[in-house]
Amino acid sequence: MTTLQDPPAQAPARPTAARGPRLQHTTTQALRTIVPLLVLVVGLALYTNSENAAFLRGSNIENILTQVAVLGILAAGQTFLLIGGQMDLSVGSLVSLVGVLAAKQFAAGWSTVAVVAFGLALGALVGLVWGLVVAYLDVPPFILTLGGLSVLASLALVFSDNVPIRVDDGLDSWGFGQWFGLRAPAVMLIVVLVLAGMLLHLTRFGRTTYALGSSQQTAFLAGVPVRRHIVLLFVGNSTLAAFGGLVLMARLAAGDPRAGSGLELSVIAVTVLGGAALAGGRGTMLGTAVGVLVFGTITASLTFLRVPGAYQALVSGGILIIAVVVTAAADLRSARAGGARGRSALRGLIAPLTRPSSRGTPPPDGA
Amino acid sequence: MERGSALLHVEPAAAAGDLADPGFAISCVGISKSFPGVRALDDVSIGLRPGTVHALLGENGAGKSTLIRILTGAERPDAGQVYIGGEPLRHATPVAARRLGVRVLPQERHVAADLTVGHNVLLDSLPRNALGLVSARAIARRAQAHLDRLGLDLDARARAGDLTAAQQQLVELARTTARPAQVIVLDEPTASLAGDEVEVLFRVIRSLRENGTTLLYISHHLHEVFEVADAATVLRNGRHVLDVPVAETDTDGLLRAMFDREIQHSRLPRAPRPSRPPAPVLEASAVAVPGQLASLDVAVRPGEVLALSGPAGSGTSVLAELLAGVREPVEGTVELAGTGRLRSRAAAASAGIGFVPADRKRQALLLERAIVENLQLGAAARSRLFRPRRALRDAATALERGRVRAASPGSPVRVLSGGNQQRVVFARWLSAGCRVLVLDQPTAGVDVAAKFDIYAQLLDLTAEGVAVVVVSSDYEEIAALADRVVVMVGGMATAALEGDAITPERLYELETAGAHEVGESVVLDDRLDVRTASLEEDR
Repeated sequence: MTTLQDPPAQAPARPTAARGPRLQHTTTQALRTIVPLLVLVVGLALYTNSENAAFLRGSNIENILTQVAVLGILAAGQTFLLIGGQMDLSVGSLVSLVGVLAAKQFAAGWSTVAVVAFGLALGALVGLVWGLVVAYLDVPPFILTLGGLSVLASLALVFSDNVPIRVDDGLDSWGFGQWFGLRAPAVMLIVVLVLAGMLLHLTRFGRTTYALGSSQQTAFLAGVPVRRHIVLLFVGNSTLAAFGGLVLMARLAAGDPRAGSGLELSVIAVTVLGGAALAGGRGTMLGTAVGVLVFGTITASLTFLRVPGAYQALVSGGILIIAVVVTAAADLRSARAGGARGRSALRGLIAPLTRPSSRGTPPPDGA
Repeated sequence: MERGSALLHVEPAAAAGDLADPGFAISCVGISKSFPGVRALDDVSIGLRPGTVHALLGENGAGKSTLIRILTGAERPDAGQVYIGGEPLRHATPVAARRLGVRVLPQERHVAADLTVGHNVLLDSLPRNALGLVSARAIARRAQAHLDRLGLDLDARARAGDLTAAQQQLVELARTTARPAQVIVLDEPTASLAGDEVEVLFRVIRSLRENGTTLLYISHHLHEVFEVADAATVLRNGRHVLDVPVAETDTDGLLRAMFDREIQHSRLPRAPRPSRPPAPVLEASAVAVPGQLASLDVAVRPGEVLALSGPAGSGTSVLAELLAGVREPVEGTVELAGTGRLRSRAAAASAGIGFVPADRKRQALLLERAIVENLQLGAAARSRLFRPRRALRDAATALERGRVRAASPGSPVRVLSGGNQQRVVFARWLSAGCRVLVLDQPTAGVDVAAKFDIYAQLLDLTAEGVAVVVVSSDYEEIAALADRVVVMVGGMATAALEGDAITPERLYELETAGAHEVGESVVLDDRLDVRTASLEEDR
């Protein structure tokens, strides 16, 4: 019965609660990924700039942002999916398909509003299909969207008869306009990243996405409408990808059926580089933004340093591998040294060594 | 010697000194093991004579599983030493223990469903021909011979996945005995067996004993112990309390050792219940899940604790999941007063049904995420916006209200002890403002002091009018908490108790008696109205 009364030791617990807001451990964890990447970006930029002073000029920075705009827009959507424990490999093909269809529609005299609305609706529809199949039939998204990648890529080729479709006048301002003193795609990239960041970090929807990726079962039992959330994630991502497709079409002034091929892998690469875990539950929008920046900086640097194109993928792929390995190693180390579990395992190892002396300390044995 | 005190009740022959001698097939000396927040074993020493069947008894959570895991090398003790055939188990791994001749029949079935029965039986020692190739025919022949020797009526060529749960259990038994072993550990082997199969099992056990094999037999059923065991060891709260030859004791003696008298009678005080019970808040009518739960009716009233008592697989967890809207009944309905039928878990949660699952780490928590995120999850996330500062402040308040000690809401929930983790889960439902709280094994892996804190918290909730449903296989827990109990065995509600009639011994008896009845009538659609049954019990 005495166990019922709370020990007086409980009172001192209050100050901890009153200690107030502090950085969440997940934030520090994310910073551990982001800071080295930023150092990499800055270091690489400074080095390239020392070789060729045009690199850090404002126009070139703007240029880099424009180059990675579509990649970044897609990465924003993919960040949600990866954090939620999902994945979509079909985004590159969707970009091609939407571009081709939009180009054809402009050629057929559709109004800009109609073309944009159709493109986004097509994206939403594709996402709805993926989401429903994943959520209700429990099909692994990797396999499903791998199939989707082929289907959509092929449709893009079919609709364009295998050749890029020129766009003379349509969405010009999206591709070449100057907004707020920046080129339009760069502005769109920044706006998308900021809005996506707010959605991810400052709304219930975003927090639920983390929960879903951390443990779907826990989220479900806690009352999260898991299936609906998965569907929303896919719809949002595909709609964003369709938007990316329109931007790319505008920038190329053409509906190229191969414009987006291979893009999905770069998208996943920069997202993972930015700290998102394929297993879900981890990642930040800032990390993704920095990952995109790393990708853009490397690509531009290699061009400025006149590295042959054949080596470019090697360098960017190598950086991805190194980044992932370093992160994993750091995690392992922190789990061994700092994590509660790691610590107790360590104690378990040490205990047999220390025990005899600790037992000997009380009055000599057998006394 | 400091060990002396723990061995007070223990037979003198088993004194610490000679447990290492080769006269024991397997023994351990001074084993202690702690997990974060729980002391699972405290200075336990036992020894098993060769060619005997030794029963290991104790309540759920007494430390039996941990002790088995240590004896078989699956877990390293914090202190103490295991000896197998007099030889110390140095680098405690399952492989090392197996090399010394220790084998385990695990509690859960691990049958490769797509392989044949024969392949499963010989899984770790597949016969190979001169070329080193595996022959399906040789496997079938060897395995069939072994199955026949054991007297099991199984076809070695059948697909293992097509067998019933009980037959799969027997396949595992065959695998465990496929190669000669010094010591075989049987961890609740009768849990999924029916009467005839239990007889087969006992026959196998007796023949193994005649061949000089030592068996460690873990079971909840005392009558089994008297049927096959030579000696028994009882653990309670991680301590070794009794070591006795079975011939020298009886059911009462073992029960007395298993249940602590002092805790047993501490039925916790509660707010007075209204003389006229209020209308049920949650009602399950004629719910059934074929193969898991026979049709039954249950109603929960505001302000009461309803316990569902029964061993794993008895249907208690299934019923709890139905009540919480985690799954839908195949037949019948579950209705929440004022809301109607439960359509989905999410709808049930926002209508005020909290659920605390048994697997805390995997199903109740986001282990790697911060405490604040674990608190404001699902139905407990009230606002569409997430404002970090406010969230942390709210979380700090919730932690204080939920009596979680020494934690800042920004740190990961995994650093908390089991008891505090459980309080975080409670705090989530407190802030969600639930009307019904369904808990599955709420104090598993929680130390004794924290347990009583949790009980007090649950009783406080009932004082506020929350209805609490607790699934438990801990009789003392049920006795301390419950206003009403439904006892379940084999998917059927077999008895109901109310008020002071709820004692650990009574629950134990009802469960064991129920096991006999169910063993005889395999029909799963007998209907039992628990409400009427409970009334009869009360008068």
